Amino acid sequence: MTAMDLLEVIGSIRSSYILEAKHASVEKAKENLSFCNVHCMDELLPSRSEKEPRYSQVDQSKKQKKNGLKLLILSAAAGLLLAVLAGRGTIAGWADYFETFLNRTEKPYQYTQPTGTTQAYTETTAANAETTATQAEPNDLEAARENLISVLSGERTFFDRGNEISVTIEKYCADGEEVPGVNSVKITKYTSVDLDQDEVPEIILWILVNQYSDYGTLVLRFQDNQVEGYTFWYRQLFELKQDSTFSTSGDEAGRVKSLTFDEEGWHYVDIDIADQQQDLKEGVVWFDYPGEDYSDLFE
Amino acid sequence: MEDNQIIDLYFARSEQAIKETDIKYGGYCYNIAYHILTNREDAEESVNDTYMAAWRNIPPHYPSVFAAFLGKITRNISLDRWKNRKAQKRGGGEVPIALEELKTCIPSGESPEQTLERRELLQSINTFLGNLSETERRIFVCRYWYLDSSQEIAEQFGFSKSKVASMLHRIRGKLNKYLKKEGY
Repeated sequence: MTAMDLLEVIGSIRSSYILEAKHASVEKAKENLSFCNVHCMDELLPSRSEKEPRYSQVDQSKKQKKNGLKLLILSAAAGLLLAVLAGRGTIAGWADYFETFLNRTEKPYQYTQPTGTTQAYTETTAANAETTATQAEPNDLEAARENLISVLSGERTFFDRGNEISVTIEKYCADGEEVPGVNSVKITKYTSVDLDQDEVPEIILWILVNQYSDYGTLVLRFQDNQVEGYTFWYRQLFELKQDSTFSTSGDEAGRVKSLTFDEEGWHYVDIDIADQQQDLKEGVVWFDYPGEDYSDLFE
Repeated sequence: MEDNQIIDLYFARSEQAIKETDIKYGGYCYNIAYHILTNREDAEESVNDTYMAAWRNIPPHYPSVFAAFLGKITRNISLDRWKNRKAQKRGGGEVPIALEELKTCIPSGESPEQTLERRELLQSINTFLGNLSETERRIFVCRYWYLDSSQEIAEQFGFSKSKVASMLHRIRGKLNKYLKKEGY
C-alpha cells in the first residue's frame, strides 16, 4: 500500500467527518479565499434537520408552539441547565424529540425525508462517493450477534446516531427521563429482523414513554464493528412484518417500506404492494424486554 | 436552493441543475481542487468535470449529503489530474494518456481482492477516525481530506503551526499503530 493509496481511500471516509471538519472554519475560510465564491460555504453546512429526519419534525413543531408550551420550555431550560451542571449534556436531542412527540396531535404528521427520495443506493464507480451494504460473512453474523447481545444485556454501549453519543440502553432511557414532562422511558419488548436484507438482522426495541405505547422504536444495527442505534417515530415504522417490510404514515409515495442503511443513516425503499396484501403478511414476534437470556438471538 | 431541489433537477435532466450546483457549491469544489492542484485552470477543469460526473451519476444515484458527494468527486478527479500531471512531468509522452484511456476498458480498474481490501481499509479508517477526539478528527480530515496546509489549519483552529504539526504527527503515529494492529 502506498501513501497515494491511503490518500485515495481517505477520500471515501464518512461524509459526516468531511462536513464536520469545516464547521468551525467557515468564517476563516471566507477571509482567506478571495478567489472563489465562498459565499456558498454557509449553505454547505447542513442544518440538523437536513441530517436527521426527526429534526425536520422538530422544526415544524417549533413553528406551531402554543402558549401553553412556554411553561414546558422554561422547565426544559431549567432541566437542561441542571443536566449540564450534572455533566449530562446529552438530553437535548431527547428534549427536542419528546417535545415534538407531546405536540404531535396539534398538527398533521409531516415527514420530510432528507434525501427527498426513497431509492436504494447504487454504487457509483466514477464518484466512488458512497458504499453499498455488503453481504454478511459468517464472522460478521457472529460478531453482530455477540455485540447485540452485549448491548441488550446492558454490558456494552451502542452509538446513538440521534444524539451522537455512546450509551447503554439504560442510559438511553435515563437520558429520556431527564426531559421535563417525561416520567418514564422504558423498553418493553424487542424483536429481530433483517431490515435491510444484508443477512445480519437488526434488533428493534419498543419504546414506552409515560403511558404512550406509540412513541416509536429504537433500531440497533451492527455496523462498522460497532452497534449503532436509530430512533424511529412510531409513524416512521410500525406494523413490522416478518419479511422486514413495515408501514409508515404521511409519505405520499406509499405506505409500505423497507430500509437500507449506509454511513449516512437510513433510507426508505418503497415497496409496491396493495395495503390489503401487506396486512395479510405475518407480523414479527415480539419478546419481553428485558429478557432472561438472549442466547437464541437470530435463531 | 435546497439540495433536494437541485437533485430533483438532475433527475428531471434539467441543465439548470449544473447552474444551481455551481452557484451553491462551485466555490467549495474549487477550493478542494485548488488545494490539490494549486493551479487555477486545472482546478476549474476539475470543477467542471465534477459537474459532468454528477450529471452522469444522478440519476440513478441519489446522494444523501450532496456537498460531501460533490466534494468526494472533486477530490478524486483532482487527485487523478494531479497524478497525471506528475506522470507527464516525469516521462511525458503518450503513455500516461494511453493508460488513462485504457482504464475505461477495465470494468472495475482493480481486482475484487483489491476492492475488498480497500473497503476494509476504509472501514478501519472510519473506525479509527470515530475513536479520535473531535478536534483531532477535524484536523486530520482538514489535512488529509481537504489537503489544507498546516498553516491554514492553525489559522482555522486558532492553534500555532507547531501545535498542529505535533498533533498531526501524533495522529499519524496512532494511525500507523492502528493499521499495523489491523494487519496492514
